[in-house]
Amino acid sequence: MINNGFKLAALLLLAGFLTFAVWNLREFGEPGEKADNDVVLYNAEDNTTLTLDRTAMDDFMLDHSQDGSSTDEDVLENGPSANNAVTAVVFDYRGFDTMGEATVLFAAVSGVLVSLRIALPPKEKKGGDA
Amino acid sequence: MERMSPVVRTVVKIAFAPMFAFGAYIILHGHLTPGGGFQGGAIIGSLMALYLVAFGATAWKKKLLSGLESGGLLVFIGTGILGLVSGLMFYNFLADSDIPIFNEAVPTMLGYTHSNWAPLWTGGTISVMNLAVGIEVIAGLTLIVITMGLFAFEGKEGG
Repeated sequence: MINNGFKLAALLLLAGFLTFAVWNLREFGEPGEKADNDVVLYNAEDNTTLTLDRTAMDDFMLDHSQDGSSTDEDVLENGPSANNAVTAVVFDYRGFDTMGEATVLFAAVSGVLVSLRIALPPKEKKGGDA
Repeated sequence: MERMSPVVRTVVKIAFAPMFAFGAYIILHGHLTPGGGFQGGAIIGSLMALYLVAFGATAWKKKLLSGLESGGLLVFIGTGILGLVSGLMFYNFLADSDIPIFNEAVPTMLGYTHSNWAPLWTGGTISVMNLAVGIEVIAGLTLIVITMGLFAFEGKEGG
């Protein structure tokens, strides 16, 4: 068995990691507070880089999620036309993740149905309700 | 599964309609307010669990529920794949388009006193996928509760 000292050390290690993570969090309600974690995009065609602020992606979501201008030629300029920006991200920008989530739910229900099915009595009345 | 006392059954009968309406509201307004298919489906699914606990589990339309669950997932994936017509997976091809399914555009915020206002008939594929996921979650949770209830009381009632 694992002794208590090892458990305590693991617990303290986890607490240290979590505390360290909290120090690196962005200030709540103040986007763009920390600029030391910029996103750098690399363009392979003309060998240039584009440095975006850390919150550029958040701003993009907030700016475009309520647009619905599907008449534009560039499909990337079209927003999902949802008033709820979170739903716009979950179901439109990150729809593939949500598809996996729904598939996981489907697999879980299928597993419950298969593993908890009721075995019919061997030679008695078969059938009955489904 | 056995039924519970008349007190429990009466309370569940009274609470059924408001809870169902709340869950349906959460699903239908998924693109406007916090919530969505998963959350509203969980609300209605827990309502179904309450109903089955109070009134006893039977093999209550398991075929229909299985079909609804599979159908919800298929509608979800199909809507995502249909976006490939426009070139992108999960592209919102219904938003602000000519297809009359949730196709209104979100109005600009300037003319409205309430800053977060939008009609229900917006969202495009987001609304469709919210409905599909909601139906899938309702059917899945109900199926789980029915199956577990039947399994636990298999010996008493013979399924």
